[in-house]
Amino acid sequence: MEIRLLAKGYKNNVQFYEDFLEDKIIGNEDYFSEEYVTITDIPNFPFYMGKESGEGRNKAFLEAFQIIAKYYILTDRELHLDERFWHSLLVTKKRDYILEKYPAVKEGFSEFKKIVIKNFDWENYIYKCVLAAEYIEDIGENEIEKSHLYQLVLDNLDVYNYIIKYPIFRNAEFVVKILMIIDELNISKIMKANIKNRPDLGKDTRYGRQVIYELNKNYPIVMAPMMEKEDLKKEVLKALSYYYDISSIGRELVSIN
Amino acid sequence: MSVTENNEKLWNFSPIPNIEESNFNKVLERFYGLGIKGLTKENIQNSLDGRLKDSNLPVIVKIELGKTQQTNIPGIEDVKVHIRSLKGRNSYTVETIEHMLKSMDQEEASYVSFEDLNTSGLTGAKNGQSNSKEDTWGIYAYNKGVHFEEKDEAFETTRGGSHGIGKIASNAASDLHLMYFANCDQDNNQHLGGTVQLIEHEHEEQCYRSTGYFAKVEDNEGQSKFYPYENKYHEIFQKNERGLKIIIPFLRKEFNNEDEIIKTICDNFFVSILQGNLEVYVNEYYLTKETIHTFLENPKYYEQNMMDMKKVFTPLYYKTYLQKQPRTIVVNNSDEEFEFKLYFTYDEAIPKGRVGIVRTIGMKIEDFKVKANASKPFNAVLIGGFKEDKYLKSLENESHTEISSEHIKDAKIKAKATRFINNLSKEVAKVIDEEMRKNNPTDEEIDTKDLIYLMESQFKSDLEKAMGSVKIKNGKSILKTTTNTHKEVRGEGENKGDVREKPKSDVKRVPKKTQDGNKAAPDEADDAKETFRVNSNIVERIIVQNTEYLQFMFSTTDEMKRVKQCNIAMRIIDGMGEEFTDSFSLSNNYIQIKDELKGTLCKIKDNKIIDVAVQKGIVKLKMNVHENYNDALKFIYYVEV
Repeated sequence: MEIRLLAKGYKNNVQFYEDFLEDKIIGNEDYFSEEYVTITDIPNFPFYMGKESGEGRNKAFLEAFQIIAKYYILTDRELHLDERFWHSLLVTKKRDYILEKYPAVKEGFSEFKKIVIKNFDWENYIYKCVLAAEYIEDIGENEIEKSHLYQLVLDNLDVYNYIIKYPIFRNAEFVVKILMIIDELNISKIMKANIKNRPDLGKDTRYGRQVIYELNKNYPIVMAPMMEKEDLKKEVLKALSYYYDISSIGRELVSIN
Repeated sequence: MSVTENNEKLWNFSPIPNIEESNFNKVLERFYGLGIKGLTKENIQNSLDGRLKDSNLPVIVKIELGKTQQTNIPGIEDVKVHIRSLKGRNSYTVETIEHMLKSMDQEEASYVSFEDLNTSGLTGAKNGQSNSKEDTWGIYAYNKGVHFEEKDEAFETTRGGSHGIGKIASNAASDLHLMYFANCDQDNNQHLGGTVQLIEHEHEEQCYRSTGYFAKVEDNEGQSKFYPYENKYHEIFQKNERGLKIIIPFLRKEFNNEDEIIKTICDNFFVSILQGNLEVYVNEYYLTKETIHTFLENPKYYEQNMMDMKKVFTPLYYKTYLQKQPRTIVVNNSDEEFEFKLYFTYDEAIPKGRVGIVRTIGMKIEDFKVKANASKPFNAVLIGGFKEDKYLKSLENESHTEISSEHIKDAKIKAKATRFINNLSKEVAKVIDEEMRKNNPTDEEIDTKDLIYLMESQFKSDLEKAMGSVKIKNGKSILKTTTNTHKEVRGEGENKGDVREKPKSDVKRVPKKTQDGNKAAPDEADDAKETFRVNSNIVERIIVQNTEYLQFMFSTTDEMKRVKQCNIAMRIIDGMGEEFTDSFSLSNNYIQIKDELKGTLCKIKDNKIIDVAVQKGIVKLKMNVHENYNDALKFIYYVEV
């Protein structure tokens, strides 16, 4: 399947949006560059979970993980981490799917930007899924373990988001280790919870984010991204201890401090 | 023999063998987008271009907005017949045609007309479609994309138009893309012409071109040729004195805006009007040299509070132009030099600095932003002479709203144009700097923007060095060394790629801001402090159990040799190289801080360690940390002296 890449300048172009709605993008040379990429299969997958919650969201994410892992991350990294590739794919090949699945795009340009041509960074759902799929497919030993890891991403989306926000933490081993530590210590609920009585930390601060922030501040004196899992576990607990009484977390861990 | 003999049609379209083009002319949409402003500007500019040579009389433009019975519109039924036969082939044309059909059946139609006086009008109407350069009627009426040129080169240069697409501006203002023009020439010949811009269409088994003409078709040696009608039509279509009159019936609702017309005239032609070269009447309002100030001073049209003039600058330009003596600035394009008169005002109350670039004809082209100076408190008007005008004209975009190099095809000329625009920025920036210095006398010669940038890039490269050594097993670096830098620290106009010399000094000055935003001069007052950011390579920091030792060695810095004591602030820096202003509290982390040189305990005030002794450029602190102190934190230190 050949995908022509869009030329720069589409992102803030309202006309581009209107032409998308009217199916006038394909055939209008003005919108395209001379570049194209070839990719074997381009099956549909959910790529916007902003309006979903609970089970629906988990289901959408799992579907996206699986399809991206199976079909999309086989390409070069430069390609599947390239915003223009995804935007071009969605706009030129997935129009019907988008209009049916995300009818909100018809409401206006801002919805379209939010859903279809969203910046390709840690807030973008495709980006999240691509990284998760890459990491887990690289590290997971077998299908059972992989599906366990995908489930961990879903159970700890908030922390996952926060991790991939920082380039220094954006590596498969670190992400997987953190998720496994949270799982082993059974602190997923704590990590998601809001920190109360600490107005100095700003609104909506969660334990998990604060732990990642501490690891970030300590880097590179504490090389969290390179640590063995057991050492990293100590650092996670230490960081958590600045905000949370960890004495209740697993007796075998009390010796940490 | 006349082709139209049998059915006596007033409007005619050229027959074609088949339909090829199913779109409306793209220029229509562009002018539609420019709105009533674009239309007004285009027509007044055309009138100024048509001014009489050797005459000192001002060009007068009479603009009239009104309504008229459809029956007064010449040949309107012919136009409707053609509109009814249009077939849209994409959603845009379908929509446009529907709009035309909906609009054309109102009994009364709105119109606007632009009539000029003390202008030459068109010539050679009697010759019809002659394709002769001498016959401006023929060019105006029957030829798209061409504008007529004056034989006199000097005169031609000062004219506003040049792209030859403005003619279609009037069609874009009509719901039916319909316009008429009435002409009265030197010999009092009065003719009426008109055009309608449709799409190619089929009517009674004949295909037609998209443009229709209010003209009779005559067969001329095998070729058909258009001729205009003598003007015997309704009053609003009459033109009895020499000059041209544009009439646009079925005026679009959103174009029917008297206030916008008045503002457009003031915004773009205030110089022409003040020079006495132009007078414009809009219904019962007169805009002349004597009256223009009443519009500029009227809050109905213009924001009167200078602090709020952030988008429209006309009242400022007006004052600058009238009250200031111009100075001469020379702008080079690497080939030639151009001399401009610059009228310049410096005033702290002006929120945005702009240069109104004006053609000698008196038309403003652009609110020019001087690179890196768009928020300085100034206002200026720039006008050149004959040669400058010619050059500026070549730099204008099609809508005459901007000077740019982008539309120029020839690479060399384009490079020169870019150079010219950059140098224009530079020359005006010099004037701005000079005026700012005059208005803000200061001892300091420091460009803080550069300094802050230096610190930032120095720190960034230090951090990158530290990070570069990190490897994982397979030898691949897993760290991205691109550290995010604080956007707010980078000065306006600074690019990431800018290469600058590394600072030699190990401290960098961060001039402290006083309340009015000016730099404090350390020599002027004893209590004025300066803050330095400390380069990490002069800091030694050791943590032994619960004690942290901190030492600064400023010995190499002249600025610090004289200093006896200082205040120290600390900020956390994260793994990405970002600094956090308030996330570290000294009192929550240190039990006590001892000044080793003085032998006394330090006080903490405003999260700063104050009155720390400096001896021969050295600072020594011993700090007892709380039990839960995070010894993996990194800091950046600020010293206040």
